[in-house]
Amino acid sequence: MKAFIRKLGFFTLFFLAFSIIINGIFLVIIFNSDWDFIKRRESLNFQNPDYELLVLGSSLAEYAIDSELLTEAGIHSYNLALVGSSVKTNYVQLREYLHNYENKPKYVILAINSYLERFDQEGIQPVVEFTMEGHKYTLKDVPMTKFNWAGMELIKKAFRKEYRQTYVSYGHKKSIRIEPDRSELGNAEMNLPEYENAKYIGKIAGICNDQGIEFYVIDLPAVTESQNRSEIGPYDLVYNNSDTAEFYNLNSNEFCDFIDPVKDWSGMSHFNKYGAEKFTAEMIELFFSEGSIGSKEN
Amino acid sequence: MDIISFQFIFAALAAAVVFHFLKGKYRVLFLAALSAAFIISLDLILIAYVAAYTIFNYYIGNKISATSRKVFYYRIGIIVNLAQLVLLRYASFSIDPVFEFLHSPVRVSSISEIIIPLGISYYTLQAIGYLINIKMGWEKPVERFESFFVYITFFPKFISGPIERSNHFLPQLEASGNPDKESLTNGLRTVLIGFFKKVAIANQLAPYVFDAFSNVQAMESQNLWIILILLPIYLYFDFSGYTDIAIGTGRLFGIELLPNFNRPFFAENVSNFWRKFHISLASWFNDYVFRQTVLKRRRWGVYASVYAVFLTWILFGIWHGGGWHFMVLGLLQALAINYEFFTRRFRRNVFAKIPTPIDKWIGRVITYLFYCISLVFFFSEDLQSAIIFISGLFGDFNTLVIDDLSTKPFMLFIYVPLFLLVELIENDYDSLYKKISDAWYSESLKYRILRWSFYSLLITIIFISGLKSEQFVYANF
Repeated sequence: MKAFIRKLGFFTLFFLAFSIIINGIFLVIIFNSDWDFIKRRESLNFQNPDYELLVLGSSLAEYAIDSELLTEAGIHSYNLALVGSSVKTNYVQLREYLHNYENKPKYVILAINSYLERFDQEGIQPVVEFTMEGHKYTLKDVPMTKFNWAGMELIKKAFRKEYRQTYVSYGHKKSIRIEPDRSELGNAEMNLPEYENAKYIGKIAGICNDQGIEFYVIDLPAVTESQNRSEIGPYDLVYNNSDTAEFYNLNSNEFCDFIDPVKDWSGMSHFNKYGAEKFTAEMIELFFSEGSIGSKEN
Repeated sequence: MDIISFQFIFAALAAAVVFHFLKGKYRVLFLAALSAAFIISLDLILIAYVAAYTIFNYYIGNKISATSRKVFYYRIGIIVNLAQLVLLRYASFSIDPVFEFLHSPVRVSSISEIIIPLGISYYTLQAIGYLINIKMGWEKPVERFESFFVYITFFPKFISGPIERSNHFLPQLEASGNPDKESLTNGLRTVLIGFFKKVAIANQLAPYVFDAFSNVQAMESQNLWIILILLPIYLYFDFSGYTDIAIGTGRLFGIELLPNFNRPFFAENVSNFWRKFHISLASWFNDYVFRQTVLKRRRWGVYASVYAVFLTWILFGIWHGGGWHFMVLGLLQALAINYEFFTRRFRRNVFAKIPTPIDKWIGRVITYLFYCISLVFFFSEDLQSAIIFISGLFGDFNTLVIDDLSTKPFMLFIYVPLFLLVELIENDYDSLYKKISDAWYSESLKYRILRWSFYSLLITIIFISGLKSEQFVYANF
C-alpha cells in the first residue's frame, strides 16, 4: 500500500505539471487563434477609438450585424458581441469601454433574441471574465475547462474548410457556411415583458442615458419557426422610471421577408455573411436612412 | 452518492486505504458497512428492505443445505424472490392491469414508490443463483452473514452489476487478502477508463439518443438512421463505462468482479455477440435457464434447444422490464440464435467461398446492424414507439435536423474510433497487441512518461467533458 500511495503521489505531481504545461500551451494557442480572444484583445487595445455605433449581444449578433458594411455606409461601427455572452456580459463590456476610452459612441445597439436567449443570466462570458480588470482567478479559470469550446472550435477549424474560412472584420464574424432553414412559421408572439423586466438591459439603458448615448434594443431575426407575428414597433422600454430604450421587433415575420431561408443561415439561427449583409442593409435602411431614427441628429 | 463524482472516487480511495490497514477478520465487516452506507446514501428505506431480503436468502440457503426438505425451502426461496421482483418491478405491467380490468382502484405498483427497486434485477438474480447452487450441491452455504450481505450489496456493483456468482465472489471474500500495488494501480486505471467512457463518450451522445426516442414522430428519417447506428455505441460506452468503474473499484478492495464485455462489436454472429456483451447476465441465463431447460427437456431432442432458446431469451428480454417491447427484444435474439443454429452448415459453406477477412467483416456488420434494430425495442417506451421508430426509418430524407451532431460531440469521432481500433488490434492481431501492450506497460522511463501523460490527458478530457452524472442506462433495471 505504501508503494501504491507513493506512486499515486508521484502521479499527482506529474498530473499537476502536465496540467500546467498543457493548459499553458492551450492558452497561448487560443489567445492567438480564437476569434473571441482576438476580438477581446482588439477591443481592450483600441487606439483612441471613434466608433459611432457599438453592437452588443451574443453570437447571434456577432454573426448578424455587419459592422464593416455599416462603416462603409458612414456609420463607424464595431461589433462587440461574443459567443455565449449574457446581457450582463454586454453591460460589463459597455461599462468597460466607456471607462477605457474617451470618445463615446453615439449609438449602442443591443441585438438579442427573446425566443432563443434568457436575459437575466448572472454569468459573464468566460473570455470577458478571464480578461476583465479585477477578476480573481480561481480553479474555475483553468483554461482547458473554462474555454473548452474554444478547443472544439480549433479542432473544427483544423478539419473543416468552412470554419477556417470564417473571419472577423470590425468585430463581425463572417461565415460562408450555408445551412438551410426548413422550419415553418408557428404562432410565436413577441415577448415584450421579457425585455421590460430584464435587469441588465435596464442597467445598459441607465449607462446610455447618463452618457447621452442613444440606446436601441432589437429582437434579432432567427429561423422561421421562432419568428413572431407581432408588429415591428418601435416600442418604448422604460427602466427605473427614467432610463429608456427604443425596442424594435426585427424577428417579426413581416420584417424577415428579406431572408432567403435556403441561403442566408449558417445554422442554429446564426446568419452567414450573405444573410448578415442583407440584414445589415435592412437595418441601415431602418435606422440610418434619411428620415429614419438614426438620421434625426445627422 | 453518485458514482460519477469526485466524492465517489475520493471515498473509494480513502476506503481502500482504511481497508488495507484493517485486520483480515474485520475487512468483510468493513465492506458490509461501506455497502450499507452506499445504499443509505441512495435511499434509507432501501437499506432496510435489502437487509431483510439478505437475511431471508441467507436463512433459506442454510435451510436448503441443512434440512431434508431441500425442495420445499428451495421453492419457497425462488417463489419469494420472484414475487418480490414482480411486485417491485413488474406490477404496473402484470398486476395493475388485472385490477384495472376489475375496476378496482388498487395499484400494486405504488409499492415501488416506497421501496425503490434500485438494483433489484441484479441482486435478485444473484440470490436466485446462490440458492440454485446450494440446492444443486454446487456450493456450500456461506457461514458468515456479513459475507453474504457483501455478496448481495457490494457497492460498486449494486446498481448495475456485473451480476456476480456466489461461487466466484464469496471465496474471494473469504480469502480477503491485501491487494498488491499492481492490482491497485490496475484498479485505478480501469476506473479511469470507465469514467472516460461514460463522461467523455456516452454522456455526449445521451442527449441525441434520448431526444430521438422522446420525439420519434418529429424525427426525420436520416436522423433516425444516425441514431439507430449510434445506439449500440452509446449503450456500450455507457454500460461498459459503469462496469469498468465497478470492476476497478472492486480491485481496490482485492475483489475481481466478473467481466461484462469482451470486444462485442467484433462478434461475427448473434450467438457469439452474447458471449461478449453483458456477459454476466447472458451467462447467468445460459447457466440457470437454458442449460437447465435443455437438461429437463432432453427427450425432445433438438427441439429442447429451440424451446430453451426461446424461453431463455424471452426471460432475458423481460428481465429488462415489463413491456411487450422488452419481450420483442428477447424474441428477436431467440429467433436470430435459432436461425444461426439451424443454418450453421449452410452459412459455413457460403462463408467458405468468401475470402478472409471479408467473411469476418460481413458477419460483424450484420451482427451490429441486427443489434441496432434490437436496441430500438430496448430504448423505446413501448412497442408502438418502437414500431414508429422503425417505420420512420423509411420516411422521406430531407436535411439533417441534428446539424450540430458533427460539431458539438465532435471529439467522439476521435475517441470512439480510437477505442475500437485498440479493441480491433486486441481481437484480430494478437502478437501486435502483445508487443504494444508489453511496451506500453514496461517500466522504462520513456513509456512511464508516455503512459502517465496519456492518463493525465484522459483526466483532463473528463474534466472538460463535464463530470456530471447522467443516468446510467442499465441503472434502470
